[in-house]
Amino acid sequence: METYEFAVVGGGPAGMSGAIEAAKAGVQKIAIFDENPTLGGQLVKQTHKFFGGREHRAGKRGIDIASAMAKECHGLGIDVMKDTVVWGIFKGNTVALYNEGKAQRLTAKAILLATGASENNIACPGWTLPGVLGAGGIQTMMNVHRVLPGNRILMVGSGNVGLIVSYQLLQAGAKVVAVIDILPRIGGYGVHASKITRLSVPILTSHSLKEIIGKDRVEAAVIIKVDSKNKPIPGTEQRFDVDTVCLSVGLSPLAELAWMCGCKFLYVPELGGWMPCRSEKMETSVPGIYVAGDGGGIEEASTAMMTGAIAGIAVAESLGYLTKERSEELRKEKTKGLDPFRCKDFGFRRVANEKLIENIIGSKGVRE
Amino acid sequence: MRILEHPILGKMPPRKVVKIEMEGRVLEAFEGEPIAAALTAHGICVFRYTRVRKEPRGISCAIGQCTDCVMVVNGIPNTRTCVTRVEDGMKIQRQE
Amino acid sequence: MLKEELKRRTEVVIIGGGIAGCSLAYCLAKRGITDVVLVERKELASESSGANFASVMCTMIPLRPALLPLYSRSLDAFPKLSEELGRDIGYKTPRLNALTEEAYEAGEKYVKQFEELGFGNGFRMLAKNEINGMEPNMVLAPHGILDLRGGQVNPLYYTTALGDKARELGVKVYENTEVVGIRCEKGHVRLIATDRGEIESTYVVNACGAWAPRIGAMVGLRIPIETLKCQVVVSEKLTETYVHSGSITPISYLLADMDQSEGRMHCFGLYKQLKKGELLIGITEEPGNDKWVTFEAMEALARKAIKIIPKIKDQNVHIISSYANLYAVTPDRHAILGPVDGLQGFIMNCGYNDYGIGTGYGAAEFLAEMILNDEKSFPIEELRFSRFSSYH
Repeated sequence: METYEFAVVGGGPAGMSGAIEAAKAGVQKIAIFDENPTLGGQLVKQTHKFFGGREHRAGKRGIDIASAMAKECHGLGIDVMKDTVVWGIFKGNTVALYNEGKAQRLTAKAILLATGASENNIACPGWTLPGVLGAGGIQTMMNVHRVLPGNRILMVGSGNVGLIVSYQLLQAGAKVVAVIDILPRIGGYGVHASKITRLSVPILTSHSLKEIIGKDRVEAAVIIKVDSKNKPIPGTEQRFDVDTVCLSVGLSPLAELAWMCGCKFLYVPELGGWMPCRSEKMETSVPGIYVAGDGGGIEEASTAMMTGAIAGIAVAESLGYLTKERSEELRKEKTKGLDPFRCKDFGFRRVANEKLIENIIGSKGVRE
Repeated sequence: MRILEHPILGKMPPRKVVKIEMEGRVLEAFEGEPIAAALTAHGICVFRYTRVRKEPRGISCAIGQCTDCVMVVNGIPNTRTCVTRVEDGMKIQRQE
Repeated sequence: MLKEELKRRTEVVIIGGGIAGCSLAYCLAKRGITDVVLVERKELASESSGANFASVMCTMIPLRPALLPLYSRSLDAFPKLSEELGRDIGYKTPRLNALTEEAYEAGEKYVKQFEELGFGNGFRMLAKNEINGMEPNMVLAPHGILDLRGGQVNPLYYTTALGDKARELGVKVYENTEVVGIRCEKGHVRLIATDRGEIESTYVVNACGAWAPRIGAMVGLRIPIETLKCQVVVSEKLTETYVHSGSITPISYLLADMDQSEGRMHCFGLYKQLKKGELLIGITEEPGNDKWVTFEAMEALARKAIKIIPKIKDQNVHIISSYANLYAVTPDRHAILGPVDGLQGFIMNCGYNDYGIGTGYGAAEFLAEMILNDEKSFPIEELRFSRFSSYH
């Protein structure tokens, strides 16, 4: 059975950052596994330019960041295994893989789980009709596959994802009839909101999705106003003739592998639900298992790159490639890189992350 | 509907055409694209009907996580069409 | 969520919310004994009772006459339990034991013995190749024993239905409550100490499965239970019937009799298809006291299943999950039931090896009667704890 020093599950921004940092520190046998045919995770569909500083590759489009990072991985001699699903992590850091119809396994001294997240849904009447997609789903269809699944779209959710995807739908030639949000204010950055309001897309806050109508696919959607307690106000229904309803209502970490290895979990609603506890070094309660990116708590791609890097640095230290002092130096740098995304309106993320760190103290693997 | 011109992605580059068959209909698709994309481009949105209540289902997450888009492909059921690439001569059926 | 206040004084405390504990709670309650408290450190059916091979069976080969009354009473109850408990427990018959040509004579001998002991009802030898007609999708040995009333039940629904019904009838069921000590005075049990407070009781029942020795240690008893780790693989829900009977077991499994003297993983081909269509593909056995699923077990189970049910490969059936659980194995493979000499009020209800789901209810009926009639010993001698040692 093959042994790696460092195995990274998930080749998105978090996973690639982790592998790159570890490789730069001198870790020898590193592998990245990704179930997709290309590396990049969710970056491959991001046609908009990123914010932040140089370390966040700001000013570049997600698709370009993805290819640059993938190139860096190849350049650093990291083993990249695409079209490979990691379907289990067994005792003794054994990683089970599935590739080209065959199941295999290997071991690794350290494992980084960078598996990302899945989209949430709203289970209102009609939510299962063809034509109801997640925002990420519609983004994949149009930006990666260049196919529009519909022409008249209702966007549910005014966070950054909802706003950005609405804009991208307009760029692709579709009509966004409205964006709704149950909260009384727009969830995302003003700069993204104004891009679509300038193009006459109404953003209706304090509205919820009541039902989706259609026989074999979406034909219409009915929204309803809600009061300050989020309760629907009867008589305020509005009907939109649409063929697509796009749900942009949050993400939940894909943490099954962490659960399988017996990591201690905590419910943190601000970061998307259940996720593994982890230290400042991104290590879970199971020694040798690390987590980074959305799989460890929903934030964004830029924070994924930082948390992935922090994990990579910690792994290099644990394997003896970095001194404690050097590792702390590097980690401080990356942690600073998280600050712009965990302040002001997003200050709740800082608090939530601290909760995860507190809860790991004194716990061990829960599968014994 | 295929996006032929896009302000960021540019013009659709020339791509090799393959033929797939869905329930008697022969459809043109581009080599390397997922089955779900090809079917969507042809306006097909119902990929299957559920077992008990016979409700129509289509694409939801589009990245192989939710299994909403599964169809019978070359006789094999439960194939996720959003992550399975088209091949010339592929036979696709709605699954019940 | 606020936890309710503990009941401070009761007649019977049952420690353990698996099939043993829940069956006893229900069997006591339906006899009008509701001054009962059941404490479970996690949730009902969180351990072996919720993650096993779902078998309604009792050891047939080798024959263990002492267990047959437990099985018999359970079988009498199964057909009516869904209605009685108000929940479909998923009972499906029959059970088939596949026998090779070589094992045929031995099988015949056992069936005859059942009949002689008065338990022949529902057992018979199958004619040669009759088993293949009953299971056209499976590659099985040519002979078999038919256990008409055995088969499968959904152990999670079954166990929780018993516990919930007991609750409904007035038993206090405290989940997420761990017993940390038991106080005895002058040869009597007095109370249990939990992480939420103490409960005084006349009777204390040890229904803790693989953890029974831990409870035994609290009263100075050495209970000879070892654990055996068993793994199962579950398939996706299938619309077609792959396995028609309630349960199929090969002779090799019966003959192995949980013997772990070799200390390695053994893989046996046992199969069931649950009511909603999932295939239960079992089982591996190996020494162990944790619940980690292993790649080796999954691989071994999958390979064997494809050999015995080739349709699995043809139809591209997917595995959707795998789980491990712990058997509580006794040295003589007999359960440990009833009072303990020298420690009044302490009752054993554990050591069910691999037949807890199949016999737990019957055992509970005997134990409930014993408690109701204030009897001093368990009616089936071979199952008494005294066969090991007595309390000092």
